[in-house]
Amino acid sequence: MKKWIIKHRRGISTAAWIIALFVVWEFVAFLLADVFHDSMAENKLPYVHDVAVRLVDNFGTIIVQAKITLVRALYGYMWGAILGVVLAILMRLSKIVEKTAMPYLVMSQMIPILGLAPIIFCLVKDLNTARTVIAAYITFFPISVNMLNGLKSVDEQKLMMMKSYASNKWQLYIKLMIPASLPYLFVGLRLAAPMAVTASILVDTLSAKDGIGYIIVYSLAGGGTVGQFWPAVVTSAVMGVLSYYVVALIERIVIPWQKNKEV
Amino acid sequence: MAEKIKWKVLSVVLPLGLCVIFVALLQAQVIQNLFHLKLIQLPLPSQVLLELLENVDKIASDAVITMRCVIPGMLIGAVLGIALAAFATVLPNVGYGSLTLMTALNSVPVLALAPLMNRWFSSDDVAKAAVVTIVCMGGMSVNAFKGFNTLPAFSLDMMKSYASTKGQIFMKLRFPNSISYLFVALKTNVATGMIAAIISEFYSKKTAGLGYMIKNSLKVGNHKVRGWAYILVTAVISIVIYGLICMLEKKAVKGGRTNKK
Repeated sequence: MKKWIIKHRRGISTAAWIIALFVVWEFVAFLLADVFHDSMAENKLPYVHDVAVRLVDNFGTIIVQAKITLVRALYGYMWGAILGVVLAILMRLSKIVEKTAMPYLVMSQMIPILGLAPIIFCLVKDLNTARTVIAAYITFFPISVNMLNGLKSVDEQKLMMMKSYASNKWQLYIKLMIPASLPYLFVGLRLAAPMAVTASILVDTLSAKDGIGYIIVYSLAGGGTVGQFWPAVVTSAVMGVLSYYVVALIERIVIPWQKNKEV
Repeated sequence: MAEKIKWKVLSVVLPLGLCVIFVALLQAQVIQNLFHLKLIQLPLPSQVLLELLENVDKIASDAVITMRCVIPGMLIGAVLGIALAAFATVLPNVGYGSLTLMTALNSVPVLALAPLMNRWFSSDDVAKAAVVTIVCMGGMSVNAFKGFNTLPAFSLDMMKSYASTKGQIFMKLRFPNSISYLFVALKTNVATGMIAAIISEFYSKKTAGLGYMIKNSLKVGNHKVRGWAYILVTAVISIVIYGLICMLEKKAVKGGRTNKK
């Protein structure tokens, strides 16, 4: 029993904090509603159990919308990943490309792209393209930088060995460089996953007819079922966290030898 | 040596060259024609610049309105994030979960936070700063925790063998060790904070600020150029703050011990 506790202490700590959060939340909601009699209490912070009940009530709708948002996020995420990896390899192959592209890579992160969602929409005129562009735009940076980092930290001796076998560039990359940088790539992929979800949710709010972001905005404006706001917010948070852990799970499957090592 | 200088020059010349080519292509309407965009969608650089110069006072005042929420928000977020990471480091069994919770909180989309904060705080500025604080706190706490705990091999054992207290270990080992990690977080928080502020302004009651003007200018048909001018200013402000943080970083890690690989 004691061993079990020590082994899972991080998990237990997390669970305890989640419970604590809900307790505090419930208590603050109680203060707002029944002690201060704040007329806006319902809007500021409703009871947790109310939210839970509404989540169950609206579960069908929310799951359907969440799925729509997730699938769209995945599409942009894939493009971002492909672009990021290709760019990293190009930068590793040619120093000229690296020197030219790197400042732009950094700068691209300084442009508040999510805030520019309306303009991207105005440029491409199609919501789904806009979503893909934005999701790809914010995901490719961490992926690209981490991949490049990985390609650069391949063991020098292994490189020498491949060269002494007279392997060509193609073999070098396929057999050594890319497999060796997979752990780094996954660091980037993990970081980027929640970002893609956020981007997708944001684009939902622009003028889409569906998706979880649409529920959030629509219920805020009061046009829809107000009761869906809080469940939708909670769901969107869960989606972000979940996406991270799904990628982490895929990582375990794809590169099991890295299980206990952190890059 | 000559090789080194050559690359140093190239690393300035190449990106600049690309920038010049890109602006020239925009000005010559090559890019617009290529993607079948009308000038109203993607205006000429000269138009944007002219618009910027004509409205410089208005844009500056909007920038001040936004930045006076972003900067305090970023600072408070950084302090809270470091405090949380310190807590999780000193009491790992209790504190670790709070970090996980923080990452979860971090994935709550900004656009859900923004209207919520507007309800909590009657002041528009405070609401905006609160959103910025929340998003910056998450990134900072995760990075700071990494910095406090990714220590050089055996350094912790050495400190322990010297019978140092937890406080001493923290001040003399963990904190100095975390400096470069803190700066990484500060740098990423520039973009996160700006995005948070801009999106909050989409929802705020006030009719000023960079975010409001971007959204509003793009909506109104003949003011699209103004929207682009605001976007340009926003990007420049972010890059300047980023540059300042980089300078600070150089000062802070001067004399050598960076923890980069």
